[in-house]
Amino acid sequence: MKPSKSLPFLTAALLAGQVYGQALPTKPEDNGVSPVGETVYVNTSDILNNGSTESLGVAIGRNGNVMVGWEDDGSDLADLEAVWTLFDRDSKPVTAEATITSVDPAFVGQTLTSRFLSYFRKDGSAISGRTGWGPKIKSNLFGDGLGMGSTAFDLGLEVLEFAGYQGAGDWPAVQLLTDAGIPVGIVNGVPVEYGARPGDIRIGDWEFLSTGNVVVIGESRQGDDLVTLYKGEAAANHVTVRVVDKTGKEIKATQLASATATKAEMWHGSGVTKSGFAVRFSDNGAGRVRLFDNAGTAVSTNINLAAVSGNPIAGNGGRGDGVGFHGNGNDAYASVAVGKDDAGKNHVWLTVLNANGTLRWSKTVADDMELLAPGRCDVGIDSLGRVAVVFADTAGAVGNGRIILGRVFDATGKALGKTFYVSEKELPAPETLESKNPRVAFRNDSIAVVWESRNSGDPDKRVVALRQFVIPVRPGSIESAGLKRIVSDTAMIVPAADALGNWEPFASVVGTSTFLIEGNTFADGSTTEQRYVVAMQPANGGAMKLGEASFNDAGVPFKGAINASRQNGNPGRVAGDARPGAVNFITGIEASPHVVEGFNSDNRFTGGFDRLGDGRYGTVQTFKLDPTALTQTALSKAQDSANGRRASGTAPGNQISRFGGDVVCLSDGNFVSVVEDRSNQLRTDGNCATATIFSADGKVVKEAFKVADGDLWANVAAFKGGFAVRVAGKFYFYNNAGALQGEPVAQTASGENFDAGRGDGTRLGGHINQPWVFLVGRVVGSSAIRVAIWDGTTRTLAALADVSEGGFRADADRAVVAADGLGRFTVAWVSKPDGYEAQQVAARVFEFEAATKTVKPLTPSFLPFVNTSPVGGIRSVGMSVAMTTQQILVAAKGEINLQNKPDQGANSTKEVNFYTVISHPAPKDDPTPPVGGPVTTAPRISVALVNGQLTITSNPQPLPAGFVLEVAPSLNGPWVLQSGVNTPITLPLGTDSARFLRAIKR
Amino acid sequence: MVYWVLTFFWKNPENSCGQSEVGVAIVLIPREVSRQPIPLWRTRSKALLGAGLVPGVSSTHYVIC
Repeated sequence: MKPSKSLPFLTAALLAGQVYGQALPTKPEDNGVSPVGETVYVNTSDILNNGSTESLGVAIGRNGNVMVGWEDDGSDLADLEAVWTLFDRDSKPVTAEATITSVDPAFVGQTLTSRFLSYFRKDGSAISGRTGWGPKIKSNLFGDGLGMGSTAFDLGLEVLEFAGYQGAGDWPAVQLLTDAGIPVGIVNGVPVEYGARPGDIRIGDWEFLSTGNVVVIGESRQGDDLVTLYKGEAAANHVTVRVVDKTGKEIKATQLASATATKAEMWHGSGVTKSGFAVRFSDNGAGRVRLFDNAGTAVSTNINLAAVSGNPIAGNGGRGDGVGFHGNGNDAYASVAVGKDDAGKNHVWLTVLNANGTLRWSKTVADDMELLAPGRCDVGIDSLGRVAVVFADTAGAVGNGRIILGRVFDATGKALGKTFYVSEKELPAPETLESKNPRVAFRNDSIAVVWESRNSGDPDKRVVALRQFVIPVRPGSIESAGLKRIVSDTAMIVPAADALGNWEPFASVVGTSTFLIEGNTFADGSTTEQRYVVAMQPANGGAMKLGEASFNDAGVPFKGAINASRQNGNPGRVAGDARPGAVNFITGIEASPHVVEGFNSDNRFTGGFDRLGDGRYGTVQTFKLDPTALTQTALSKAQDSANGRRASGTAPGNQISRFGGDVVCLSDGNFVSVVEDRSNQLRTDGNCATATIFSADGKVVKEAFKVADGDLWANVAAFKGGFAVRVAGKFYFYNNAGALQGEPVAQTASGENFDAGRGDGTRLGGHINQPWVFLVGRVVGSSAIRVAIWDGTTRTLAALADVSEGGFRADADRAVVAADGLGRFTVAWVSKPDGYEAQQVAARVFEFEAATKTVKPLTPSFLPFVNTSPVGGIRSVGMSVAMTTQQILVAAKGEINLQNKPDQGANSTKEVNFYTVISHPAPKDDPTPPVGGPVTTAPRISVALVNGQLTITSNPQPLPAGFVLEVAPSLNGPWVLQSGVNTPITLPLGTDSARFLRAIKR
Repeated sequence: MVYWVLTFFWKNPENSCGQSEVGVAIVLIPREVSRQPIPLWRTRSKALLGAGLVPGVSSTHYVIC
């Protein structure tokens, strides 16, 4: 039948199906999964299609990349016996075209340019896909890594180090790659001497193990081995298992997969969990599974799939060509097969096993429709135990063959929806041409399906088709993330008129007591000029007090206009000393104090550098805070950060320097101020990042020095013993004295593609008690937010992880990060979740476990403000985040309901600066050495009551030096030195209702 | 009158996070005041502080350990 794309015919066909009572599969988006874009046809004729597409495979990498593999026999270098190519999580092709060469004398002088790749030589050059057949595509479920295995027959003619395998039959070989498709190396499923005996050994399947090793499973047709090696009674095909490391070194020698030395066959069917792997094979016909631990030692007998599942259909599938078996990299395996029940009804039967081979649950997949002629099927299972099944059936396409259907189940086996058709281009209607042999992968909320389709527009060719889906993640309230509200959304200041633009908050914390939020508002009495304010918010709740970013030289808070040439420019910055007990902080603003009355009591602005009549520049001032009264006292006068001590020169224009840059407090209590320096003093021909170190009383500790040429926006972070600045995609690591450590480090060392511009949307964070420098941002070309963590003391990459969940595919923009003293960190970013009219700040809290270098989410993504709403003009952007080990502050600008009733719509001025304080998901005491250095830990004291006498003892005993024992009738005193001042002491019980004793250091 | 003797230990977070001050409170609770035996565990102690059974104490001020 000629394909017709006319819509009325389609509609009629669908209705016809319903009239005759056959339930048809419906749209995927109505059944629990959101499609990510359209169906992509991979190997269309205009690219390279030999007309023999078969043997598909698919896997999803940790970074969301999708590897698609297939076989398409042809001739010469374009004989695609086993090839792969990569797509990103939005199905955009990722693999660059490579020039494929040959050292095989049979193909002398031939080259092929293609993005359909195969194996690589040690020098990284790509070889033709012709040297091994039957691709098996896998991803490392425990970290970075993708790979393709195949039955190699000519591999040794192109990758010469394997020449020894040639001439002795086929053997299984696996090409290991990074998530980006860069070759890592080739490992083999048998040693050379093993494969030298007569007969082929095909690739059965293979897996990345949680240990970092690789298991390669072969279907050996070296039949005699079954007798001579394995002591079987008759020669026959059998399945082999070999564990190697990623360099190919043998970890566990080739052994039988089956518990018995009898005939076994396999084509697809391995799975992996945290504790080991499983092999599914045909035990002389019947489907069996054998479990192994990570060392490669068998831990089960041949498990009868049909018996465990409770349904004979589960044992169908023979050696595995058309059925599915996979592990979830955690604690479960899934298996799917097709067959008829006793009544002759067709089923796709799904079985989920625990890692120990016991049944978790099993059921029929498509209980909501009649399956007329199911073909091959496959199953993917994610780390949460959710399952995606795909299979082919006629489903309304009668006459043309089958189309691809799917259904997804939660971890308990409950379907998310009904059976759906996978492709929007291949509907359950008669004009849809045949599609068959689907394969599926399921990871990080994402489902990738590939199949062989005749619907690419070229009905004569089978073409590999790909479509991706997500199980959408919708961020909820803080309560849904297990957190509590400490301070509801609070507008720092409600200006008299709409903000002038670019006014957004920057947050920090001083000590563990008080959050500081820098914001802009109008100068007193003005609606045309700006000033900078600092909100001081007690971390554990209570009223905020609004302070000023600038005090005049007399130490009086200054509320007037402070910028002589721009009012809608850069937001101010603030940084507090984060040591427990600390009270000092610094503000950084773009200002013109040299022409403002009250700031010229000395000659610091008349030293010789000409700032023009209206020049504006990064200006810093240090303060101390009284955390109880929330009053600030200036510790220094406002000064020009980069050029404050310059004795000559003229600014090239009135934008002299700016924040741009940022201010941070170092672990020794000094402050570093880094500005985007436009003064041309340290770089004559352009902008540069210029850093100056100040003490808390405003004295210069290290005079202004150039970090690097380029623009800068924020991107300064302090860590234990130093600080880092990121300029134009490179990290510059300094110690607290401001001495550059080592060479600059390119952010591309993370392997992730972050923006390398001045840094508006990609930011740094750190904490003075930890060596970590966190880089967060949106991956270029994607909506994924990721984090890369560097060890600032060794300048090496420590970890790379997802921030937003795979299923949180909302539009994303800028991201910011803050960390606490225990290696936990909070990321906040601008998102536009599905269904929301306006952008909403999203956040997520993580723990970086230093020992294992793993990033563990402490919460799902959530929307931190009270003021979030899909409609009504509620919007939040331009966020900043600060945290202690017990509380988290998120600040933003936007339009909100000032009474915190977001369902009544926004009623604030435009871009009001506001913040909220929420609980930390894992509150702990802050171990950061407090101001004044670590103190002796207080002793433990114990009380025993014996015969009406209280005996007080301590450990250590007597009390450590400096400690005394005091008593009081209440916790508030009056405290009196206890006679017999040191432990142990004995006191009568008495009749007071309460008595308090304390050991206190004096 | 029979009393329960409750001892609970606390540290003062304002004093360098309890590094230089720890204490023990010894509280006599008339048995008829309490409905059941008072185990020496943290949340109960906090509840007693909050319930005003210990004079002059703000339950949020000190950290029971």
